[in-house]
Amino acid sequence: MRTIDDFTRPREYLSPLDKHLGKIVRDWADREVLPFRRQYDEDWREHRLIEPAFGKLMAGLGLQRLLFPEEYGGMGMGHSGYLGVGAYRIMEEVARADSAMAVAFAVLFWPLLMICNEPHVNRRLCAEFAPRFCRDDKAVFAANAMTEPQGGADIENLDVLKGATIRTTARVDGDQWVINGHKLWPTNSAGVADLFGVVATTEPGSTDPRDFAFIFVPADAPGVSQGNAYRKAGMAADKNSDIWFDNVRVPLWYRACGPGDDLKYFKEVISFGNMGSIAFAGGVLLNVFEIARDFAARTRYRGKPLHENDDVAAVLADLAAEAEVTRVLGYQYARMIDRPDLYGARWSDEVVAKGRAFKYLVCDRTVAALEKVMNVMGAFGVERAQDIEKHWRDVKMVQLWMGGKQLCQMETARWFYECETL
Amino acid sequence: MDYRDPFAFPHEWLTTVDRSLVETLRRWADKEILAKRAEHQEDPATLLHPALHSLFDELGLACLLWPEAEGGSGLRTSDLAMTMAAALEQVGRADAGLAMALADSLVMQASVGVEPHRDESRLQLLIKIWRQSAQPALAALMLPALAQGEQATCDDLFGLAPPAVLRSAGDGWRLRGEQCRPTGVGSAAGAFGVTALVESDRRIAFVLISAAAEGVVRHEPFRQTGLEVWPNARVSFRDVVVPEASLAFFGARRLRELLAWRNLACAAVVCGGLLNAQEILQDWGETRVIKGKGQIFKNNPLTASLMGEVGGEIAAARTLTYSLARLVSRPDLYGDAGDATIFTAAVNTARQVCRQAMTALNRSMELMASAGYATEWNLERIWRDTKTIEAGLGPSTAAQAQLARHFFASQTT
Repeated sequence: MRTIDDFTRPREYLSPLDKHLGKIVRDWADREVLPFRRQYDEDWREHRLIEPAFGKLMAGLGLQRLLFPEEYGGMGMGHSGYLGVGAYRIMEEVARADSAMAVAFAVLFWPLLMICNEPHVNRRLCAEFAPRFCRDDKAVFAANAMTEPQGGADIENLDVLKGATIRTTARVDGDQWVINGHKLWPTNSAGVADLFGVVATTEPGSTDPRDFAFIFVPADAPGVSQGNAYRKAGMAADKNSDIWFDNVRVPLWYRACGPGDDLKYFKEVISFGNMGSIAFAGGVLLNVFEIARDFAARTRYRGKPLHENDDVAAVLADLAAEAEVTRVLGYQYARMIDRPDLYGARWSDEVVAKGRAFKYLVCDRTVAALEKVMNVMGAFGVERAQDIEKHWRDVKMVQLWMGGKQLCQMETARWFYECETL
Repeated sequence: MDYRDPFAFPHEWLTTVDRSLVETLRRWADKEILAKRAEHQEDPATLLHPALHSLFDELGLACLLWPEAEGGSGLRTSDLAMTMAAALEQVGRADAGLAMALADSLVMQASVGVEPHRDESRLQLLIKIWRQSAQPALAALMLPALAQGEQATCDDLFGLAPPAVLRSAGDGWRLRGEQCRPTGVGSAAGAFGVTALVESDRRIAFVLISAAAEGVVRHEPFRQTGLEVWPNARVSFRDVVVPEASLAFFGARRLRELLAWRNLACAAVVCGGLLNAQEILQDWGETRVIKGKGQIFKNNPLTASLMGEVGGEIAAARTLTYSLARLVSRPDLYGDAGDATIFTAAVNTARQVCRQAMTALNRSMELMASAGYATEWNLERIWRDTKTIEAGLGPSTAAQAQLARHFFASQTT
């Protein structure tokens, strides 16, 4: 019987830890998530089932230490040269079980990339925040607070707007930043994260890159408040809410990289977000392959196993083809991230645009492939017990976030066609 | 039709009474459902359960075919198809779960209540079942499906498996079927319409059974993508006694007729959801700006193009649906709904409408990004409900084979 390990992984690119990391995460997924995930939708508010599984992944297996340099108790992946492919493997394995868990886990690293990743490691901030995360008694999350009520995806539309629409302000008062603003939708909000990376402006309306600020704010800082978790179509393991910053004060050195560099390296965060999204879709495709394979073998149509029908086999083939192509694309993009000497800086317009292109293409095709498989299954396709409809709801959300499809298309068009007015 | 309806469709086929019903339902949907939807976001059942009573009982939609002496509207001809499509569209605009509950009830009634098959005794049986039930006239249909395990499949059932078996037992008939999956509302339906294969001669039968009948076992509700206000549940029939009056019909032709009606009902409900989706997207497109330049969302060339695609899909879906309603409502012109041509048209139309709807809804969600999947905006609910309706049409392979069989004389194996 074919398994998900029969899909091609570019072996030249793999990290030395690939087999080990893949195995421990898959074992965790099979033991801690797959038996319980049908109940996750009802656990969206409390996370009574979801939280212990996170604890075993992040604290138990120690994976929340991944990014921090070794001297601060981390695993040092930020300077390993295989952060991209290593992270891709882990995210794919987690998403195979539950893409929302993969998102919440991945977003832990999103703000930390700004300070843990070569060549822009901020050792003072690493030393400050590592003790929060390099521990093995509980899962600890971080979050990027980017989106605002008035602007939607504008914050991520950096090439055009350069931060001009950001309304969350960071004002210097003595040796502190004073932050005021309102953010929407951060993954790991609604009380989940211990630490926020807040996108703010030091000069409202400015397009000067030096006014774009990325500042760390502990979630328990006075003046930070969070709303209740939003209810969504899926992604129960990923909590999102409003966050308000009301005269929140943090030290000046909580700014990640400094004037100009905050904006520059924030684009790297976007590249990792796109790579993660490809991995999430890839993990979903792998698990749907497993489910569809088993369903089509045990279900009968015209007296034969369903997969022996040519029409059904064609749909199953499309699914396998998508999974194969997604894995190759995903590892290729991870490789581009790992080898700036060959492909350019992770924050370059080229690498960001190609990540956008891969992300929207893969997500579009994953949603379409799942819809076709569900159609073949008839009424079984929408039953929770078959485990596909959850993936369909979840991956639709992966398709829509980070500015949605149109922003991906515009960034792709801008780079490939050198558009002037987009 | 003077409400703000941007979609042209062949409304000349609606009668004055139909139009009046549409107006009433539209006002009812606005006032009783859409205006209150936000405050019942956490628990839609608190809004929709009472709404079902008002729709079925007070507005009398469940009783369209009932004799006037029983408090019904006394409809008895295939004109019902047009009335049903127009009504389901308006109810579907309010809520697809509510509309599908009505749809399956009407489809089951139509199988024994529309000329030339109208049978007063069988209709009376249904009325009696529902009057003894705590719920309004909720019905769940058990239709052919993919076989699980070694279950037999049947060419007359499009290569699918019958959910149950009917056998002669000397003193009458007995129905057997384990874990039959209803089209919906399995946990609440008072009456079941079950497709069965007659054990002795492999004829197809359609049987009307009370949920209270001895030997009927309702299993635990199960979760599904959408249409969850009245949860679905599998039902087993363990040697249930089937009186003669419960045998709605025999034969593949009558089953095709029932399925044609159900395909029409599904298409109409989906169109209703699309009408609401258009309103949601319109609101979004007018109240958002992009690129921080003050450009109204709907005025950007890319978003406008996608919104144009959404509108086009809705318009086409609606026209197809009303055309099918016309075909089904006029057997004197087009042949009866059990005829292969009309049945195929029904299968095709429902599939096309669902495909167009999913395209329109996927595009709308993509335009609205995170608001597309937030329950607050209700678009994701329409998306989930529509996918659930599409799945309920049956496996796509069986439908495609049916189309190929009709259009190209294909004999798929």
